[in-house]
Amino acid sequence: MTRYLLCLLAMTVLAFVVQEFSPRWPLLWNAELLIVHALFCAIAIATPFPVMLAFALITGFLWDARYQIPLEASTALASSVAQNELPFGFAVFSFGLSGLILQGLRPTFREQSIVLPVVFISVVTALSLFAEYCVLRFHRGSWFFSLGIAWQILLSSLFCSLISPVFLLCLSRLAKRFRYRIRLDGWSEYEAIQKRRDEISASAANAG
Amino acid sequence: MSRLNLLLLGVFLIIVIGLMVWDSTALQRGLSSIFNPVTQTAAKAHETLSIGVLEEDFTNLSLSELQAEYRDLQRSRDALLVRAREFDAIVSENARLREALSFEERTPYELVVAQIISRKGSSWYETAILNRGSAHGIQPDSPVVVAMGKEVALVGRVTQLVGETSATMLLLSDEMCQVAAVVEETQEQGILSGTPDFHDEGLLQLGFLPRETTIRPQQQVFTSGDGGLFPAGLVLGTVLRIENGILDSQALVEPAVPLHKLEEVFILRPQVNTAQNIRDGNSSPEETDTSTEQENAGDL
Repeated sequence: MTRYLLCLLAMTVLAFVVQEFSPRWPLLWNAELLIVHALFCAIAIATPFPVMLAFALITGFLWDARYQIPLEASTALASSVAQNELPFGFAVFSFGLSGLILQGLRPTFREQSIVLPVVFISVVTALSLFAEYCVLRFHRGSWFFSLGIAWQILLSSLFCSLISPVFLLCLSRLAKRFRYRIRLDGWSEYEAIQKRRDEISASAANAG
Repeated sequence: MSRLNLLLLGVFLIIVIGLMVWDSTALQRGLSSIFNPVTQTAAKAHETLSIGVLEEDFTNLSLSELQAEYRDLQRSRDALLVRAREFDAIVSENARLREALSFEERTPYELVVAQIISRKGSSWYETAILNRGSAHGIQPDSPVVVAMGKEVALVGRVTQLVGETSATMLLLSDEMCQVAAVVEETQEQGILSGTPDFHDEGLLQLGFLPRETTIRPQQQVFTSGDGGLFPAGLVLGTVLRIENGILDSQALVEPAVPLHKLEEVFILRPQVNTAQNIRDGNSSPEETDTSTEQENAGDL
């Protein structure tokens, strides 16, 4: 388990490095490949709840540190104190909420099905980007939403979901490599009950 | 959900709220500087690709053509050196006259050459990362300009210092980069900023104009200098069309330079000591300017 988690941590750091090389595409409404988001979503599906929360904290913290831009709330005539339009920690919250939703898909991932996780990764990424945009507009005090922004959000989330199978597959392989079993909450209790039930039925059969 | 998970969720939420409430500017700056080497490497990779394209263009030129171009560049450099000497003389004369008249001194600016090393920032902002930071005397809100023939065009302002050798610049096309502007012919004043409505067309919006505005297309817009954030007289763009509203009017302005094609820019750094040094006789303006040029050239 420890080696598996260390490997996930290294992958997260590497994803941030690769993210730097991923450009925005002006021809596709400034959409971009959100590698960090895709990896986090895959981790959220493949790891238990406490680990997901820890990764939400680490990933969100690094994301805010790199991509939050403190703007001086300056007008044309004067500048004042620097402040973030999106509060520092918003990405942590956003990743945590996305992870919370994706935790519900762990049983399907355990059964080696990736269709539903991929669809949900797209949905939660789109929702988190939209929430980010809404907070930004709320801060600026005016609402504006164009087709270009809708495409930017949709295409970014689509790209995110398109690369997520690679990460899901990678995490599945790593789990096998490090002999980590993807367990669900209460799985050990369930296994103990099953074992006890088998023992009872075996002893009943012997008695018969 | 088990009790442990609920407890962990509670701790997680407390940490999130703590992060949101706590002033994290210093921490953010420190963490951002950790990403700096990666950002610069990524920028170099992009730059290498661009240079590859440029080299291909140069290889098409013959040796005689390259020699002719070299001679032209030498002539231009010599002419510019002569003009620089004249300019230095005028600056020192100006300083002496100001002192003689006890004239209120304007804040002079010093140019710091900077290259755009990355355009990658947050999804929702029009930003670029420059290879100059606090080590070069750059401060938040420093204006960023480009030379445009005989005029100087404003392209944005520094919004965040990322470590000692880089800074984030907010482009003029961003909604949050607001500039006090004046139209050349009519002297009508307004606030120029980016606008999400015309973002795809790359246009800027000159708002807060009177309803019965006399501005016409093709008139030039300059910084008014009001507020002291940006010096007056920097070119912003050309009026494209006027839109009359119920209460006021707005003009759509085409930026003076294509903002998405910028590569090399100048940051205006407040030059606090130069005039004082001239008066005190500590160093001549020629020396100060030469040292700045050398510093810039060396760093580049």
